[in-house]
Amino acid sequence: MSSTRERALTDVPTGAGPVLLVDPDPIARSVFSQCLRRAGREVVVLGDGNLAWDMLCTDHDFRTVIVDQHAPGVDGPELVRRLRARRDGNYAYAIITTRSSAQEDLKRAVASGADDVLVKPFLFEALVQRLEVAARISALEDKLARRNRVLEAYQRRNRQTLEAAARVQRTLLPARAPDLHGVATAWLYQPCEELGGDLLNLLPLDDRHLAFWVLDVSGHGVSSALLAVQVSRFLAPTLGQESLIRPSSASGTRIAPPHEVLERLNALFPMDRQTRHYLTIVYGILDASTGEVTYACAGHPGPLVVRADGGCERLDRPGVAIGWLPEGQAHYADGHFTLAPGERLYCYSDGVTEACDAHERGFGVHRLAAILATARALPLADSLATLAGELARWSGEDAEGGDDVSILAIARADIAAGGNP
Amino acid sequence: MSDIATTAVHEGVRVVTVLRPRLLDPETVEAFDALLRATRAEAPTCALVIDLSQVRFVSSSLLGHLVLLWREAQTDGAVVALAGVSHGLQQLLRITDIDRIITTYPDAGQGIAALRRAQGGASG
Repeated sequence: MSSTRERALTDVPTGAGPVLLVDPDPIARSVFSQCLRRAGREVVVLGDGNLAWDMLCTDHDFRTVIVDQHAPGVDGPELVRRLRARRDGNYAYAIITTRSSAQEDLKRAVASGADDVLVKPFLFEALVQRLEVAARISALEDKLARRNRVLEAYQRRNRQTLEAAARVQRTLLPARAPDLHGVATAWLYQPCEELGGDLLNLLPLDDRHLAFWVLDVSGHGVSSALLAVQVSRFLAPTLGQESLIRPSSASGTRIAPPHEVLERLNALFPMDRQTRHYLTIVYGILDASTGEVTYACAGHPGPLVVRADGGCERLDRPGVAIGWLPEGQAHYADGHFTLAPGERLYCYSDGVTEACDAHERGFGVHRLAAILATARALPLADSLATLAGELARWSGEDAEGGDDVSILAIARADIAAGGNP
Repeated sequence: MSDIATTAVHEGVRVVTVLRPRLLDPETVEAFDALLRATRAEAPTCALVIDLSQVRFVSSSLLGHLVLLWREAQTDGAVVALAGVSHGLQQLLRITDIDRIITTYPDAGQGIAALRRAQGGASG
């Protein structure tokens, strides 16, 4: 007995599993199976391809399949083709044996997905060497499959975590329309990933005043969303001294003017040098009894107002983004306008106007204004649905990337005309 | 050599010329930021003009990078300016008020001339 055979007898490599041997020749079956057993391998021997396929369908443990090119029933290449089409994650190393060395036969064998072709007659040592390769490949395939399973589990957990976080983030959006006489509200929020860097809200400050804001943290993903959530906490009216919009003191609570809210935000949220996140925001207060709106912008587009006659006004108010300048260096000024009965105001993030079509043209503020002006006869929520439809058409079905889309709408009813906002 | 931007020195002023029409995806923005930082690190007190004449779209993240760069340059006593800002970008810069923070020039030539004068004035 040669030393090679002795090694083969005692040293079965990792990744070696049972071998399925399919050969119509009973002598070949007998010789090969004896040799393989001597090499320490567990072997199942069959003479028919149909039986072999049935066995492979029920027993997925075979790590090596050796099949004759002309096995009856299901021949070698067909058996291997079926084996490769079976996507169960278990890889079987396939060797086709053949008496033909014709190029066409060899090509067909390889094209079927076989890992190797052995032309008969061959030395037993050649087969043992192939089995060592098969064991090595199987071990690698097993390792890959294990890592894929770990990655898939990690991805699944990640997705579930993000979905849970997105549900939490959505609880920070307006829960219901504020109950203010003659005022209707609606909003649209479409983050481009599970978690958005945009947030918006509508918050009654008392029985007359309604605060509204849309904010947009630069970048996307978890870190942007976390900052958005953190900022929104300070923009709630019920936090006592911590509230930026309705701070309380010993003398009671007061409604902070928009410029003050933005200056305090700027002091609280300097741009992080690592993430380089900053935020833009439009913050305003509507007096529902008079329609007077006071607002300020920090790097954010101003409100778009649709007048009763269909005219549209952009009320941009330049101001540096929150976090760009150190505390005390960023100053904002309040703007004022009146929202008359029958008029609407829309605040939006740049994800709306910068949505690109297939030719990389931006949606643009003029298109936005035209759509909202045309939709002024529709109920407020329907005007946003119309806009969402137009945006989806503009971006196209294959749109990927993009930005968060947030729009907030407020309307005053034309009560004298019996109108419904 | 970067395919995002080229760097050159004109009359003592460093000029970074952006070659791409879009600075949007995070990888491009990070690479551009690294290039700007490397350019500044070579001569921290040297005036820098960023030529955006070939740029049509920038991400909001990029604006944050530019503002940080401007602030760091200020600390070093250096000037950073923008040049060749397209009409579309001008609107973005106006809304974000960045054009009140970082000086912009119609083109790189005018930027170089202005910064050269400023450098001359400062040193003389």
